[in-house]
Amino acid sequence: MNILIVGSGAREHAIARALHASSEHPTLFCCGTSNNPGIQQYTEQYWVGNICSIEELVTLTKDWRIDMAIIGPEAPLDKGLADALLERNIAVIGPRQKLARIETSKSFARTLMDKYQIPGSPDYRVFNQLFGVKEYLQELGEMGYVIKADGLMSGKGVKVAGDHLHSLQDALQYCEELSDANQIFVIEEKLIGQEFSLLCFCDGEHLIPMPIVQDHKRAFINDEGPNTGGMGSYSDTDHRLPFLTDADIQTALDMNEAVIKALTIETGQKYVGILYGSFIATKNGVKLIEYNARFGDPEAMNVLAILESDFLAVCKMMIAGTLSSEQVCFANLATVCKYAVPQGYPDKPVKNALIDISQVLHPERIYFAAVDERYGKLYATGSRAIAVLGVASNIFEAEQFAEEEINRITGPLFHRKDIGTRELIDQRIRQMILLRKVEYEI
Amino acid sequence: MCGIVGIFSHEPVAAELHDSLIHLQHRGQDAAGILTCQERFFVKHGLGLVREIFNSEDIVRLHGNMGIAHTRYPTAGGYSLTDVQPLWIGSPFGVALAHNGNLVNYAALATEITQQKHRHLNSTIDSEVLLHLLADGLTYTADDEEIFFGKLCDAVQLIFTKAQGSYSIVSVLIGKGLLAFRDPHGIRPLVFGERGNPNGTKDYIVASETTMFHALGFESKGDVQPGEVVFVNRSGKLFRKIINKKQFSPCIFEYVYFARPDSTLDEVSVYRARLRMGQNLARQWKKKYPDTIPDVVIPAPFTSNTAALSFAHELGVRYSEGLYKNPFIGRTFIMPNGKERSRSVRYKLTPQKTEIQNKKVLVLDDSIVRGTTCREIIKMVKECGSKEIYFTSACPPIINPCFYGIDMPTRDELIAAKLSHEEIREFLGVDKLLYQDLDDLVEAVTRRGNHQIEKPCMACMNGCYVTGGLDEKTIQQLQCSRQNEKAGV
Repeated sequence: MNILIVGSGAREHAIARALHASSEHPTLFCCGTSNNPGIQQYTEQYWVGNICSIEELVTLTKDWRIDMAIIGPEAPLDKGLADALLERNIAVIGPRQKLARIETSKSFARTLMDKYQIPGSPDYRVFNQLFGVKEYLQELGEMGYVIKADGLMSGKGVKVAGDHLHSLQDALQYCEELSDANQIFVIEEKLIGQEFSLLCFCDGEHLIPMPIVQDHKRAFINDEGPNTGGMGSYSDTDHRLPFLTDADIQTALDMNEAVIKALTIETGQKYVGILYGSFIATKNGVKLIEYNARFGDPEAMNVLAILESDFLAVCKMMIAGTLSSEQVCFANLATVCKYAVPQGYPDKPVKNALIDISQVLHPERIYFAAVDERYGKLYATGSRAIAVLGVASNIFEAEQFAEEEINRITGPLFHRKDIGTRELIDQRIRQMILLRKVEYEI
Repeated sequence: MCGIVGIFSHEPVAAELHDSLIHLQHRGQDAAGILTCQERFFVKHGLGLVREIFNSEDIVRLHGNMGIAHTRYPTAGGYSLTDVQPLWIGSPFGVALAHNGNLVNYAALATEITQQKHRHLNSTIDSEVLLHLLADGLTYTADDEEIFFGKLCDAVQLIFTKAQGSYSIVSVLIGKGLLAFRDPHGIRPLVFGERGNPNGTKDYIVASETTMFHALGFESKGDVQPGEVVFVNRSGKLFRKIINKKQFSPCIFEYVYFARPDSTLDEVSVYRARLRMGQNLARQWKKKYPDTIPDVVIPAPFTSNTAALSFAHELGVRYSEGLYKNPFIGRTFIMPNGKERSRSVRYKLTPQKTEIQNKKVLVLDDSIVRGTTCREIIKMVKECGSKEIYFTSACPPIINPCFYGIDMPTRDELIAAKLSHEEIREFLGVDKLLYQDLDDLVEAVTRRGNHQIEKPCMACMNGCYVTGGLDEKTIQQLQCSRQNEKAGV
């Protein structure tokens, strides 16, 4: 069986590794934007180019006689890669363009939830010009808003009061830029609480949840510094997180299911792929931050490493529409993933820095992201470089494993030492206890 | 300022009346009395605290399943045992009553009773006048219970038309039942409660406050409404009728100072009202002195503890019980003359150096009446080495005497009636002074709860005496006679 992996980051490295481990021994191919040595070792053919160039990819699938494609990143989904491949009778893990709008258009996602009366949205309004913006920002309060540009902005479209926007003036200026560029944008109430990712396998009808993961967006320890693509993540042995209640998890699951139903009705199409809900537990229960139509990075490392079922078999069930929870099993193990990133990341990263991974003891726990192999030497190209995963019988052991291993990678890199530590997790538990405390008016 | 209670029960009631008085002790520590009824009255009166007056033999001797009781804080009349309530009269049938409040036109009514009707008044207290007025209206009786209740309402209506002032009344009528009513403005509180018995019968309680409900197993059923007559006849049937309602103006000082914080009066929790007073005062502080943040908020114990708690919370600073009050000494406010008052502040309050020294201290008191207690407290705080000292009052400036039952002194003694804000600050010797705003106080009391309060009586702050009949000349006369009474003339 010939399988195409689209994308060449650590997420796709994890996908390739999981497929490589399949008892069916499929033949793997990759279309990526860079030469990822981690993926390359498993592939028959490896093409580097613009993965949003649909025609080129379609041609390649013909040449390579691809049976099934797994689309890692969101950009090709937005360009309709899934639709193009499905037309060629190639099975695809990854939703069609219209369905992917759940990720690619923030305003679509919010209005869909409203239309189908799915609770969980924060207070929000969609704008296409500046009329009423100032009043709404003032209504949400000085530090109480988030501005999201509609459409894919490669992680740069979301600006948060207090983090990126330091005054009403800042906020208005950003809205003006968006408005001048004829960009639709959503202004939302800023939510306070703990974020978590709930990813599901979806076959168009059935939804099977994966272990819940918490990502860390901020660059530095104690959640300080600028936002990044994700500095690391962890999951617990019971596939939930210590600060979440049963009700929180149920709410998130219900929301995912309701959204798939709504999408099916709205588009008349079946969602085959990964639905990744990014949630936040607040004092008023769980709210939706955003949806993604793919695996998260780093979440893919956490969940695929402990997937006990054959990943290829799971993909086949997604395509056949026969997903069932009995056939998708995850080990009761904790995982901690940490990213080593170039110094100066994300604002002014060191580029093309030589790094050395020869001291690493467990190469099977290493995932390559923005690295390039040239003449047998490894270079960090500027974005997140290498992810290290610890898997153990509790979070803290997994953390220790990841921490020791990541320290064996040398070069001008840094990572967050606090991810998965008892201190940080206890702090989050405490934050949620404080948030959930009942405040009453006298 | 008195506490009253009436209970209609299916078992001997004396012990519960006694326990009720214990729960109303804060409303008067001068004298107390219990009167029970079983075809005749059984009475025990005394001077002093409830605990000092009654013993178990007394309680056993007080027969009957209904009765009334009173704890006195003298606002009218003298200080002798003959003036202790409940009062009773033997004709046309046994009528007894206990009164909380104060009549403004006592003199005129007393004259009418003695000069025109040639009755004899045993005492100089206004409550006896009310007793005569009630008895006058009850000369006609009726076997039909509905008709009798109608007659009762007529009798009370006579009081409503004649008596000016504040009066919450509990009364027992031999062979008839338990009666209660409240003046048409509802100035003094009067709460109502029920208790179900296993056999389906019900017991009833009417009292100044809800403080004893929990202990005695009564459930609060709201309040006796302004101008309402409540009657439980001897077979336990309840009658209620509002016969003469005017603007509902309950006394706001009950919430500020007088009532126990765990009471709910006129559907407003006293505790919550005080929390809101502290909150509003703190908001005002932030507005007026945005750059002054105290290190610690210390209440003048105990009444102001609640307001200080929320004041500190609102400001985000520490609340500290930096002045400790010996709970076994009576209230200063209760003392009948000023000299004794200033001495005893020091006697019963102990400042805690650890909480005061080198700190910017904000002292919060419920109110500033004469200013003497406050000044003494401030002196003690200063002696402990406070860095700066601020004084706040949960109550707006008190500038008028009260003729509705709170023992406010005459205008000459009210500091805010004589001195300006700045002069008061200087007199007290503090760096900053803040009084509650009138509107903020009303807001604090009326913010929540399903209450019917229209315009609380705050005559002591705004000079608006709700019953009328109080022109400047009358005020002067009343002040004068009150001073004479206190001086024992």
